[in-house]
Amino acid sequence: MDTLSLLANGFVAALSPQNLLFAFLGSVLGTLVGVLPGIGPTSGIAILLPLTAFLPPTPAIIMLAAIYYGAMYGGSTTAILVNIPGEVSSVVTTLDGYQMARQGRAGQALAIAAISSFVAGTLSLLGLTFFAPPLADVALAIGPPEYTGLVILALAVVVSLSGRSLRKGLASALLGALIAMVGLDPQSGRRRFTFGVPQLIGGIDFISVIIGLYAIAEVLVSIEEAMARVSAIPITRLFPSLADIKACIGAMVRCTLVGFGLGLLPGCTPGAISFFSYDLERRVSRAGSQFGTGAIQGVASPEGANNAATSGGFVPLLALGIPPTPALAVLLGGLMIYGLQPGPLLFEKQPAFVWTVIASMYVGNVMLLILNLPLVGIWVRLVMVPYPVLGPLILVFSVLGAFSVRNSTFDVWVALAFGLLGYAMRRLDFPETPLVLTLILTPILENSLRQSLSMSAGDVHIFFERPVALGFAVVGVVLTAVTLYARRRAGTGATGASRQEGS
Amino acid sequence: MYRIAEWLSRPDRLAGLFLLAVAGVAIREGAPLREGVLGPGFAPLVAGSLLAALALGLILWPDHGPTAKGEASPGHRAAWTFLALGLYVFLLRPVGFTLASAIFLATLFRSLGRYSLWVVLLAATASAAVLSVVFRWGLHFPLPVGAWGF
Repeated sequence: MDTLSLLANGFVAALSPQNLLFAFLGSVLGTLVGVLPGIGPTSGIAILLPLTAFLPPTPAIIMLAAIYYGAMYGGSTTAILVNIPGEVSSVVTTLDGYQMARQGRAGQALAIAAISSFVAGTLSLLGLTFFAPPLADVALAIGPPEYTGLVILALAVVVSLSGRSLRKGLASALLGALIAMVGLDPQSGRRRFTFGVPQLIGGIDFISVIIGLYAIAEVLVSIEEAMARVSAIPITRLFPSLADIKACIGAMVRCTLVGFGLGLLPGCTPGAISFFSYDLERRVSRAGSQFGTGAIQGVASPEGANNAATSGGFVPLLALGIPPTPALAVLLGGLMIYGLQPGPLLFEKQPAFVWTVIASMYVGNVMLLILNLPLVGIWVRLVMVPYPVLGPLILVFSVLGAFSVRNSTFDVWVALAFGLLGYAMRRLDFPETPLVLTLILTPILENSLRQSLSMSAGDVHIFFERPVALGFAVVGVVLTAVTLYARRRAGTGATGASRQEGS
Repeated sequence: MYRIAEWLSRPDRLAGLFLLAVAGVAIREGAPLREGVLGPGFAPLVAGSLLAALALGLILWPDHGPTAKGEASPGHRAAWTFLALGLYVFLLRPVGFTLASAIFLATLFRSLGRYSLWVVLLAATASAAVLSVVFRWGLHFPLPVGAWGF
């Protein structure tokens, strides 16, 4: 069956009442997550992942994906009206969006942010539709050695997700790898790191880890920063003029290309991409000199780019099983909880699931456009909810989520322990995403490596004799080298002696 | 003694010591399981050894950053919130989800938000009741019930 027929079937399923309902719920929750500064899409997905356990996989993943791209829409509202970006990806929107609001053009800024998000989001979904399947086809000829190469390629992302200090990123990744080894070894059946605790024989539950690292740690950090009361700028006129839209068409096309292209690359988060797109637009746009003073293109560009980047990120996730952003790493874990292994085989074994989710993203984009403009007043009121009220409620949801996995308070204690670890990691500048990534990928790497070596009677040459395996590993090494070079040029690498001091 | 305290005032060194301890446990657990590359002890040994090297690097050459003494935020609110969270989880089984949630929310609303007692009690009780109704009866989640059955 060709791509368009598969997509058409996906639309039929996505438009069923149940899937529409969960796409709508995800879009609302995503917008809420985007609006509220104390909670991001990663922690939003982490909290809600266990609460979707009662659903079949398709509506559950539709809802979780909608939370991710919905958050990109929601972040702009508070950035424009109250100068508080709900998400990192909306930080740059404050530069021109808030200026427009102060000039009495808040409605136009909100509208152009939503329109640009919709245009870029939909165009990049076309990219996802036609780019992911061929990529998955190429990667289909894989056995254990190729899987080893693919996981090595995925682990190259650790370098770009390492934040300011590479060695802290690597330490976080190794910690995740060791946590993944807790429980019974799947091949020999021997116990590892169980310390005589029976609950650890089945391993440490992934959901408890992400709830702790993202939701609980996020609240503990945010609760430290008492939030000042904010006041919003009133909205007078909501729709931009035709001239405004015409002025933004070029920006929308450019931000789509930038967002989708960079969104494919591991480690390029929507936050970084929106900055890059804004900077590019400032250089090439005729209105470049007005950027920072309320230029409408300065709102359209970053908002479109972060939405295009979310669709771009789904290409490596669905086709190769490589999550390029922290939120997609958590979503990858969600897919695996439902017994779905993202990667080349997903398109072949679960076509109905994949195409329904992709089609639901088109539907979700339309929903978000409708949701964001008329309901803007409600979203703004929500940002006024003080954190001393919101934070404890998030913690109750976190406890509920961790408990609901196996109806066990042990999992809640595990979530608390990881909450403490996540808090310490944030305070000490250790990135938590590498830990989550290796927590997911280590069992796959260990199994495929051992299976490969069993096939070759322990001869490591098997990896050099299989071109696809070698190709994946080489791309992984090249990607790592390029990222290291880029870090060095950007001065963010922490390996230099200048960033260290003797004892 | 003063020099040891000064040496430990770099948070990276404390993090390094923690990671070194974790690496030590990994190596100790992995060593008896070592049966070549195909054995269950190989991965813990490799990961533990690499982590030990990184931890030693952090201890000997910490990144520039705030010292433990001079941190901008002492973390009292986070510590109090975490303590309340621990008590909440401890109370979940004995008193049940609804009552434990109401106590937890009331404690944090009051201590972090400094609202009046009546507002706090009303908001905490209403929130806990709504959550119980939605999750226990609406979504059929087997939430813990205490001695009083709710």
